[in-house]
Amino acid sequence: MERSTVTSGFATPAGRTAADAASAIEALSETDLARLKALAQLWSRGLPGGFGWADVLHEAIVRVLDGSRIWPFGVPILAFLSGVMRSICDDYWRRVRHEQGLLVSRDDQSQGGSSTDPVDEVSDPERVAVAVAGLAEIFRLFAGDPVALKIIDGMANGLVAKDICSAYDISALDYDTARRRMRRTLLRLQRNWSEL
Amino acid sequence: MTRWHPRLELARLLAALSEDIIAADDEEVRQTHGRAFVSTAREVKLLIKAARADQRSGVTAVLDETGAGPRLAGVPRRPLHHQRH
Repeated sequence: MERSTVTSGFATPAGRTAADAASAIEALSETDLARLKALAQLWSRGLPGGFGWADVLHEAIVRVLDGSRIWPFGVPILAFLSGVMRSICDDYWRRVRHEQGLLVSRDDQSQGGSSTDPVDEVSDPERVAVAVAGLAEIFRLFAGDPVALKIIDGMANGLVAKDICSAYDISALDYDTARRRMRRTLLRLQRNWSEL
Repeated sequence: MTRWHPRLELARLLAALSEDIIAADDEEVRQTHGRAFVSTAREVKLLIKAARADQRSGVTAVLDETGAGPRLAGVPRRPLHHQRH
């Protein structure tokens, strides 16, 4: 598919130019680069077909540089790249399902899915199974940390920090400490998530 | 009885965890990587450089925009710079 390059030299009302994005990527600090790898590993975990974090990050950079993904104003570059990688992984899952002959009747919002339509989940048990496996991976990652598991459960249920503390009887200090451990675990994760 | 929506839960969780990674402070990032920090940064830098070169030379990525189209002819299965850790 031919890629649009119309944004390479001109800002659009929706976002910055590809050249702006290229400059921002070029200027990423070493710590941002490490964060970028951790983000790529997070989004690519469990992808089938040997498509790994480096593939996802490579693809994201190409799409941003060629202008097919526009960097919106007001969005930090890392958050933008994270969103592009998420989208790429969603595309990949969709493609895999397509190749497996599964009918996808409407746009899938995410491999993890943000659909709340129960009918959708009933009609595609494979997608549900993939999500269950994804959840299991994340729970396994924090298996030795009871407080982190409570937080994970709360986040999965869409709770904010205050509500998590309240619902799971966690002090603010314990919450902050556990979140720090969780961040370190995510940043430290160098291996393939599927090996967890 | 409340239905369980694993896809929704996973989406929320991944979004929250990705925000955690972005929010980690610099010292935290350095400490968690330890001696591997410099090599990690270099590895990603090289990957970006390769992606930039591929984009300039017109090498397309492994997925098309629809996510459902075929892999383009001549495109390697995986970028040559690919490294797994």
